[in-house]
Amino acid sequence: MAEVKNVRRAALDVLMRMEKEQGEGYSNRLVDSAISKHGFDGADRALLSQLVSGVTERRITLDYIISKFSRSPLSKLDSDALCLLRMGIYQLRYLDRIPQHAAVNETVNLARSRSRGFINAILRSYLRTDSIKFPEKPDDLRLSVTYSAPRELCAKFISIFGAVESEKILASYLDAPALTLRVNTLKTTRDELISILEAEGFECIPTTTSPYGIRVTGSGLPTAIREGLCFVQDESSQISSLVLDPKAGDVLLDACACPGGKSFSAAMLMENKGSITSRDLHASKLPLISSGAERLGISIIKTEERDSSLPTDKKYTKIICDVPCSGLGVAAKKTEIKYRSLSENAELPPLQYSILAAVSKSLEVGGVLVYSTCTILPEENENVVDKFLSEHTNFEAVPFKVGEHNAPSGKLTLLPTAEHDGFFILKITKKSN
Amino acid sequence: MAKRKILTDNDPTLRTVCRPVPRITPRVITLLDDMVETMRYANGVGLAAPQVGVLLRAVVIETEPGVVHELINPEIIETSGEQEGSEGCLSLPGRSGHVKRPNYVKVKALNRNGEEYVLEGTELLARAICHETDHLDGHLYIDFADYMYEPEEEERVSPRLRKHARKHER
Repeated sequence: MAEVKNVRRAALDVLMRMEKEQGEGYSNRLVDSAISKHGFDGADRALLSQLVSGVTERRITLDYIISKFSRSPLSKLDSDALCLLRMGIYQLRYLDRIPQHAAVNETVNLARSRSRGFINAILRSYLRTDSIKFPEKPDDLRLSVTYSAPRELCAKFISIFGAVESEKILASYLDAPALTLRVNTLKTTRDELISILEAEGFECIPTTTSPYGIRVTGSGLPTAIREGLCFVQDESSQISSLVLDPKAGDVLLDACACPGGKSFSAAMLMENKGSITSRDLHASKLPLISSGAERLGISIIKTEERDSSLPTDKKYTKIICDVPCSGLGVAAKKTEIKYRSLSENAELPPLQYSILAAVSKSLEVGGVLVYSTCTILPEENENVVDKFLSEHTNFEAVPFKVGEHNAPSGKLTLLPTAEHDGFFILKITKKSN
Repeated sequence: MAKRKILTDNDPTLRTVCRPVPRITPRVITLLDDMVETMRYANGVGLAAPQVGVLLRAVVIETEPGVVHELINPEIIETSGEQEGSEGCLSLPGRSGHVKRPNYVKVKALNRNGEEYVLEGTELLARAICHETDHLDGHLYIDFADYMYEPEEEERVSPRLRKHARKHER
């Protein structure tokens, strides 16, 4: 058997599978398995991920354009014809390094004979059209088509943040996500790490708010990660560790710890002295934390499999409570997130509340708890913590300031930007039992 | 070891039902060695004996570099699931098509020592097992491909270029 190494074919296979499973499989996982299956490397590999992530990220915009040229409604098209049209238009519109005739021909070649003429006609008439008019009103429709986000989500953002801010958020979802590293201060310093990374050919920008972060651009992953000199952690997440401010000797609980970044950050701030319990509901993910800690030279982390929504007797001086959430702050990294129906989030606030309430029982009097999410919706953030504070009068919010971010109410929402994720941070302390 | 010639296109050998290997002789061992070399030289992931003109039920597969499976008198005993994807054949150069295959395949065969063993595979390995055992019955994937892909752009213009090149040779 001869292996067929056709990048566009492989991209089409992944896109069709995603279409069939309706976002069940994360695109990066499917792309990784296609890469290892076909043994793609270099340019092929880059084109495959670009095609899959690009088409996914722009799907609504692409479908709008296709609908302007197709006489039959999109729902009537074969799924492979639709995926091919999306791939074709995506290449013509967003990838200027691919010659137009190549984008058209190679896309048409992948089609079954009965849809070949149709796909060819649409791609060629797209090429003949100067510009496509996007809807201007109402705002939610305009944002939906322009930034490829469900109309429901656009309307929701507009009602919370207004049209101008919503536009910035939705635009940030299309940015190439930043790769931010957190320096392992147990082994090196930020300046030293920067020179190591630069020697390896990466471009480095130190983060502004966190004194431990470096945003890197370059191809591949730095070897410094494997060597334990740093790990991947977004600046927003680093900020939440700074807000908690763990010290050497603390007895710390990380209540929903996987994949472990916040535990690692805390261990570094604690100079690897004291104890950290990294707890997660899923035992299968805990070895990730142990192996990460070992790589980074952290010895104070113990993992624990437990459901954090059930209280325990053990007390801690510091608690990290980073709860499951809708992820709307990290949609630039996981494209599928923005396409999820908002109704899927209904069960999150009660879960978030029950975890916060149960975990707060483990906090010592005078101890500090930081509640965080990687979403920007008030119902998962302010509403949950306001309810908690009104029902637990022995707790109070602690005002804080990190870098230029001032949070006099103890609550901070970071909206997603090209530099960092969207994030919510609350700092509270326990006054009495 | 020696590289052998791969039969292509309309060669009737590719359409013949092969007979079981009666006894594993040194000639069979040499055949297997040659098939592995030929497959690797052609950048294939599997090769069946009829493709090198030997009408015996023997197959070699290497979907994962360095892991060679030799199947003598293979018999598929279980399949499940479905996968869709592209497939090509060293005997049909330059062409490829869309073929549905089971996603899991269990096959019983003899190894080169004559011992019976069972091989299980998913995804690409399952596809290769099906593709190669089909060869032993004279079947090619084009018989049941859902549809064929058009040859690449370069290959469509190439007949003219080839003619051009030939002219220059003369």
